[in-house]
Amino acid sequence: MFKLLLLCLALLPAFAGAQEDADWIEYREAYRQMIWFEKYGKPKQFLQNHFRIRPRDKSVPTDGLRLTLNGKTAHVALPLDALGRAVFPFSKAAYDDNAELTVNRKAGQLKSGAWVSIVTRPDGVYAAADLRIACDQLLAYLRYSGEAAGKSCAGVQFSYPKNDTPQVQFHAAGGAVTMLAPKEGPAFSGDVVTTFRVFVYRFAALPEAGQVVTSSTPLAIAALLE
Amino acid sequence: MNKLSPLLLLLAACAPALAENTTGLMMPDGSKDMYVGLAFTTRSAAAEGEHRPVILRPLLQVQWSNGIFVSANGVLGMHLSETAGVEYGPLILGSDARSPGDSRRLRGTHPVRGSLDAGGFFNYYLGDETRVTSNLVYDTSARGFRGQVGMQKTLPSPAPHHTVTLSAGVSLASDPVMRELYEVRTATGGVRDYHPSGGVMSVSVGVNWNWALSSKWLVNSSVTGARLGNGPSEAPFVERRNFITWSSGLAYRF
Repeated sequence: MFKLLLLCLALLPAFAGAQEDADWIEYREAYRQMIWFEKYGKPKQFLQNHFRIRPRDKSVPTDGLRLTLNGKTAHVALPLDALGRAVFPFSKAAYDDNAELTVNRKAGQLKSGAWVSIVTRPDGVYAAADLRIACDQLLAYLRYSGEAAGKSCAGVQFSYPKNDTPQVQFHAAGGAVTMLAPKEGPAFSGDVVTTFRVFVYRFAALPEAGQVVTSSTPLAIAALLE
Repeated sequence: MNKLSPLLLLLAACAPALAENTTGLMMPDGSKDMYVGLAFTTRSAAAEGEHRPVILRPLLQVQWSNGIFVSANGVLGMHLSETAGVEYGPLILGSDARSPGDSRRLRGTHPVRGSLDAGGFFNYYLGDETRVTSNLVYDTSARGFRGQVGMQKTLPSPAPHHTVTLSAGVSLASDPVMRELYEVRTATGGVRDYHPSGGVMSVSVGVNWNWALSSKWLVNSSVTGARLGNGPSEAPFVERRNFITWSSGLAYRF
């Protein structure tokens, strides 16, 4: 009996080891968080909603991060972009299966949930008026879902990988061109990864009428709420 | 026994203690979210005095996509709100029967007919983690109103897959409900005449702890401390004013 116990104790780390670097999220909980945006009835044409997983602190590596939907029969890999965002599969079958979303990180290392951002344009040209509306739409949605109370739109920011060297310019309606200066920072406020190349467009700093012209598609456009 | 324990009244307002705020509108059409399990629990019957055995009780809770929810606590309701942060709808609460003949201590009390009491619930969120809960039902047995007002706060997760929710609440009853449950008459064998009037049935604080072992298995535990209001606590057959109830069980999520 004692030997058996010792054996169990000896094997325990092996089993624990097998469990390492994997955690799960209830599909139903994720669905509940994601469906809010789908059911939101106010204007949202400049917004997009992703399921996002992000590290809780800097020590959690993001390289090789994988998100998988595991149902009774289906195991579907959900591709993540550089910011940990995936297109969420709304599936009645997965809901009814009580499926799990799994990640290849230890429990507690990641945060997950719905993530709203501003849609990028393939032509890289954004009317200043559209960006203001986009920011307002995002703020209205966050307020609706109980966040961002007391904040207002100060601008938007375009994020690129840190080694990219894109240009982001503001073309005023009168013809004057202003280069926006890059800085190193997080793609979204509150993120622990702060090594992106970020171009901040403050509405108040530039003329009201004009366009933002980007030389390549950013990873994300975030609202600057202050 | 107390028709509904304060704990159950708290649960009634929010129906699910097993699931946080899952309303029907947040699931695919035609789907349901169901928990079935068993829990060890103490009976909270004030009227049973010191003798409060631990019993095995079913855990059951179902939420359908049309908004209807039921639980094994004798709760049936329907979510009607399509607005974030607000929940409301009709509610039916079941209550237990009690007869003066059930125990010597209950001599002189009124017979209580088990009934289905109809009313409504209204919950309001103060941010993501906190909500105010309330309900009001018409007690068809006593012909009076009873209700509950409470607050729930979900604490920051202490560990992955653990959810801890604190709650506090007060349950209230009108004159007829209080009298049906706690009035005693010597004419029918009671030790002394006692005529309570409406007011606070009890105040309570509790903590509910959910531990999700997987997306399918859940351990639900709760502890509630309650203090009876003057109406119930001064009744001749009620021996304790403060009591603690607990429950712990395992549920499977379908």
